Amino acid sequence: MEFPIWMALAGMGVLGAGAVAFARNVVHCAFGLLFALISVSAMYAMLGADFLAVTQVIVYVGGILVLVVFGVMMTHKVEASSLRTELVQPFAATLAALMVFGLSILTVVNEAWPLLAEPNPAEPTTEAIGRSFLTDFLYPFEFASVLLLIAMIGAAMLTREKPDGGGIVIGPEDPAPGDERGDA
Amino acid sequence: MDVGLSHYLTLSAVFLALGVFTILSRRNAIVILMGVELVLNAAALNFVAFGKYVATGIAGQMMAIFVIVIAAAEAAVALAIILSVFRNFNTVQVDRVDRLRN
Repeated sequence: MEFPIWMALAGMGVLGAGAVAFARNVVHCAFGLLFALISVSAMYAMLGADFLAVTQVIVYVGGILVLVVFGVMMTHKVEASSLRTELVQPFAATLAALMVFGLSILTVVNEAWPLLAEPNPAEPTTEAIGRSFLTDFLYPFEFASVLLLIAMIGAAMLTREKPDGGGIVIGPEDPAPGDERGDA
Repeated sequence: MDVGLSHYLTLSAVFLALGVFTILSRRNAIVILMGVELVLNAAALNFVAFGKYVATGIAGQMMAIFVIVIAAAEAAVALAIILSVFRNFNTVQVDRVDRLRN
């Protein structure tokens, strides 16, 4: 019974990832990414990582994906034509992707993984994760919080409307012709 | 048929290959960012799978949590850069952003 469910969830994820890779419309790519991320979350649940599955949904689906869709909406004109995106160098990219895939599969098949006799049982992990954060993983935990603070400040700095107070300017100072930027 | 470690590793390899393909073949910076997210998810999935079938303890899941943290920070900064580029170049096609100054 486990295997058909796993196959269905994995198939959803692969289809979603395929949409990210091949869909012409950026919004379709975003929806494909949604299904791929939900599939990964389901995989976490099947691996017994309950806290991680919920975190995946909250952070990725609730946060990052909304951010990405915001990005799509803010950087594309409303006409459908400009939402399209085409593939460049498809042969080189296919070759590289196939090589990466082949190498991974060869490793999976050939490597003798030191498997546990009995896989770790699926039990609630939230308490163990909380303990680890404040004991074994205290330094990474603090570092991650500082990193998130830096990322937040950096994102605010980079997207400031008028960069004359020390903000970072990317690209030419003068707005290109037809630029929507409203500052005179 | 039981689901084992190799199933998860194979799925992760598919995600990784599609992510690499997306990064290499797209011109839209936002879609490239989606490809990066796919690659990061593939790596995190591997960590959790090894944490169940190979290693004891919680370290694999901790690693996946930190991958999610890095991905969140990366997405925020990358989208800020993309928005900034869009304001100045009026495009998010990475091959059209080729000027260092006017």
